[in-house]
Amino acid sequence: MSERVAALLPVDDALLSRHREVFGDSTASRCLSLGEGLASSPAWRRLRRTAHLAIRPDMGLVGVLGSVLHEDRALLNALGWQVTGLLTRLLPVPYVDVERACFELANRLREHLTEAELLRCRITAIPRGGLVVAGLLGYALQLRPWQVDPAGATSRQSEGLIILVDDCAFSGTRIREWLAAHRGDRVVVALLHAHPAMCRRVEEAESRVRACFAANDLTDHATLRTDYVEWKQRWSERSPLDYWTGDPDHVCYPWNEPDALVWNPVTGEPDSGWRVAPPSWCVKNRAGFTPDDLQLCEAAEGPLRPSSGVLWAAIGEHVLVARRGAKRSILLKGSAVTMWQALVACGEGEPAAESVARSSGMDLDAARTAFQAFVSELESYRFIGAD
Amino acid sequence: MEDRKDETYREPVVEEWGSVVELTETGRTMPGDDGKAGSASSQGG
Repeated sequence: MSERVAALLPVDDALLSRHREVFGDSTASRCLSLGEGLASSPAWRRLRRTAHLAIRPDMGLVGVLGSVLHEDRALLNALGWQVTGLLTRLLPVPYVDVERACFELANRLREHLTEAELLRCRITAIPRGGLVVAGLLGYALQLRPWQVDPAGATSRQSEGLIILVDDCAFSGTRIREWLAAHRGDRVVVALLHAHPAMCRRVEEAESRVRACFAANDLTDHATLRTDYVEWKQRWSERSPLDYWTGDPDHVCYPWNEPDALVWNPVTGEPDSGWRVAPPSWCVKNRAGFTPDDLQLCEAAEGPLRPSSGVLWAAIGEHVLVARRGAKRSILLKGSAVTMWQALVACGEGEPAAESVARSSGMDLDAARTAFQAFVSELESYRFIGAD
Repeated sequence: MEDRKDETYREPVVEEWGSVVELTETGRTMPGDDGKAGSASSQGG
């Protein structure tokens, strides 16, 4: 079962402009960068089966247009609340900060371990982000090559101290899974970013873990929720094995933007939701980005222009047009598609009518008349002209 | 735009299609704001 829908999101440029190093220097470039991040999302991989992602950078407008399956509706709704939440909590971590954090971790490890332990320990990593950290930390601690064992092959043995590293840990699921799969009986967990309460809980719950700490503490933004107690109870019941439940800073590394979950009431399971970091910032999002997935809405300057709240997308041989504030979208078929394309390309009546005449084979007078009627109809929907 | 003759002229059709949802009611009070940080599967970050 699916629903025909056009979901429109006005992009909050005030949030994007906090991170110009990630999104760019102009309003339009920031909007486009966000659109590319959205297009690399797990949520979009679900929605793209039946819908189209469109962006109008000069108007700061993003939208999903098409049909949306009942079981995907929660992901569509999340384009509003989750993207705003992620941008509000966004914490980009450039390489220079990663290097600084690795040296901080090295100092912390020297405080926790003796010289003898450092000479014999091994570093292993939780894939994939932890592998990046493991290599850097190995250099920062001046370990010998054999001590950096990122694949964890030797750490299945029980003897010796293991330093388990990852870039970040939120609920601690990966740490728990690693401990369940490996036998090392003395483990120190070292992370670039985590909430202190998560680290404390790992130490309390896992007798094999001698210490768990992060170079940088994350802040829990969930406590700002008006329904914090109910929310925490709900998610604790859904994921009872988690060490910690919270909504921390949304750290984004140059290689990884962590997942953010959306509860799906249809399936009764959490889905991986939206990402916001553009492919230019994050390798993981670059690998998951297909430029053709993003329909760019551009309109020429002129007296005939789609209203500022209008977004459109090609759907097969048709064009779907939606406007903020309208109850219904419109589908353009037949030569209405040609006329729309002429309108957005030309921005003026006469050049657009000439373009319609050339592409449709009509004589110019007939094209003028047909185009004017088309314009009048769109004006009646307030899809062109002033808002 | 592409400048090519379409030999079979088709009448312009503008038809109402589906609903428009505006995702502006964002933030912590919106019903349906039900998510958190974390991973859904065990594939690693």
